[in-house]
Amino acid sequence: MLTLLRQMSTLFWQLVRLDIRTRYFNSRLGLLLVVAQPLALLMIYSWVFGDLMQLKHSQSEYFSEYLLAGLIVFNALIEVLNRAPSLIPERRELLLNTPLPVFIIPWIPVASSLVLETISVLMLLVWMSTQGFNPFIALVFYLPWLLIRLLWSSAGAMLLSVLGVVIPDLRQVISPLMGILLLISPIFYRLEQVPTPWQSTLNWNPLTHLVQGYQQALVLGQFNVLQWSKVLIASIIVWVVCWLMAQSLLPKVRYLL
Amino acid sequence: MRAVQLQNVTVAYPQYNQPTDLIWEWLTRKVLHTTHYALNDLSFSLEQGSTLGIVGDNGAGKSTLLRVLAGTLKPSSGQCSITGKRAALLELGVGFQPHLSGSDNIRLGLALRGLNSTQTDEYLPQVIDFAELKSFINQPIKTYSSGMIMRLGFALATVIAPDVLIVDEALSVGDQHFQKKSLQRLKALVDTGATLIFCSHNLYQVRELCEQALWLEQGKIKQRGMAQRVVDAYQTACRAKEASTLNSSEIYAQSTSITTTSTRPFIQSAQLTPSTQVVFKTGTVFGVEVQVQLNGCPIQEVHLGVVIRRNDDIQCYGMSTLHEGVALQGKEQVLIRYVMDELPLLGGSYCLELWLMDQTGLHVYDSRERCCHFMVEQLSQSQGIGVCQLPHRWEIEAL
Repeated sequence: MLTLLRQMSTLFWQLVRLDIRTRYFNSRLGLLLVVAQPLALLMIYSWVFGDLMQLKHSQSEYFSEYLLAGLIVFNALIEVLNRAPSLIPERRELLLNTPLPVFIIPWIPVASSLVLETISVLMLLVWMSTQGFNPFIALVFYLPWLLIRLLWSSAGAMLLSVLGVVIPDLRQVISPLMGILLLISPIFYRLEQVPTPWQSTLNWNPLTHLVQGYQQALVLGQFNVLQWSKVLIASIIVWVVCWLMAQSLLPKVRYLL
Repeated sequence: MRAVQLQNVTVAYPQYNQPTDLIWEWLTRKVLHTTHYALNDLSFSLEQGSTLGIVGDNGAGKSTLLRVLAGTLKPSSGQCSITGKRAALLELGVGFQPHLSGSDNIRLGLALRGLNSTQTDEYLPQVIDFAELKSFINQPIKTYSSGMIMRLGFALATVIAPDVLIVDEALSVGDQHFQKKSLQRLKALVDTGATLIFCSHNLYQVRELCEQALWLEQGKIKQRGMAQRVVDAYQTACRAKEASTLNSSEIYAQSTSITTTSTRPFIQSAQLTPSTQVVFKTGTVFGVEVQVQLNGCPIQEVHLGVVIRRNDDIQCYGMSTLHEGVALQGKEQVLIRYVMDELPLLGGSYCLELWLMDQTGLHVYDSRERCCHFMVEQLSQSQGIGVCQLPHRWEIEAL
């Protein structure tokens, strides 16, 4: 059993390493893209939403930092969800002709997203420490929210990787859906800036809580235990349902390839 | 020691009308698929060092069985256990990722075979050397020629000396030089005691490489035993099937007023005479009885050739009704006996080749290569040494 686990972990990290290399390091700009792209987006978003559209909130001067914290969690999530429907069809030959266990596949982008998120979080923490914040407190408060993000990513990856085989059109639908999700999540604005009747509506968006959790932890160094616990319980329930579905359906999707 | 053991292995493929039925089935718990059984309750075992050939028609379940043995497909029920390391030469290079470099694909391939990163670093240069791809190894696989991909696939599959080797018609790999090299590696692996499971439509290769054979039909074992017997039985069944196909095509041709009818005769059966014997003595009667189905072909256009071959591939003797001017007789079937009243062959293991040809001797209707295996025993060395007795005399003069 232990040998099998060790073999699986070697295979898994080999797949993750190749996935990251293929996506980011095979291009000429390589690592520079990983760092420069979010920074460039951050500068543009800050200018457009902060300065031009005046969405800067009055009680905090950390608009760009809030924006970055929100983008970190959102980008990490869409990195997985956007790719999930294509995960199995892209690995069809590998799956049918090698002993690759199908259960590993949804976890590959989850691990890749973790690596990319770590780079962005480290950049933000370094910046916040230059502003006089304690990065270690921020890190401690960030990790519980990361756990929830990973639960969501893996649940989404399991669900969408199966659905991606069953409903091929899903691959085209996911991107616009993610665009909508970006706009209805409090990333470019704070929930308090939204008219009160809409605040409760936006609270139904599960990403609202995750974004707020990341922002509070990484920018303000705060942690709301009650909010986190509620989200965690809901996340675990969703994760278990997705896991049960994956256990039952992932071995069967090979017959549809 | 048992190297391979299959117990009641069944592989069932669910077939859905719509892909979405998979989800509905899970949600509603109602069965929305039909089941196709690629393998049905298969059981057999193999001892370490033995060689097994798998024969059967397309769709008989050969590839599924090889995938189960290779560990790339889990049986729906039953157990497949392999003792020791296994290597599978199935569709070479199919699992490669085209956008990744050769070395990345090797790393991934070795990880898929259960090697950790230290072992991967150890085996990586060996694979590159054997595949002879040193100068291309950092290029993406998509830039490789098909021969290069095959070579890499073969090198990757055989780098870890396996205890069980599963081969699916992969012997024609790359150019002549690499074919020889890969065949040598396969033979070396078998010689060191590896168990070989070989699947091929080339029945000659099955007979040559394997001691035992397994004939699969519709996912079940039709026959298992000595390679020669199983292959012969399979060939006979193929010929019978071919004949019935030809007959039905004739009926179809008649019903649609097509005047061209197929008239391809075939060898229906062949057996040594006396039929109880497979061991003959030098100088005794030896014969073979061949039954030919004319299948509408004019009798004057059919001739039979018989070749005796020793097990070291020496062609000892061959003759045909065409070359000896023997006319066959019969309308639908003809029984031909080839008889030697005094068998001149010396001790050894032999087999026959039968060729059914036309009156020019150029067109072969049907053949049976390496059939009717038999042994010849000689009484003593006084009967001579070599392949066969030759008519001779001694002339002695006192000088």
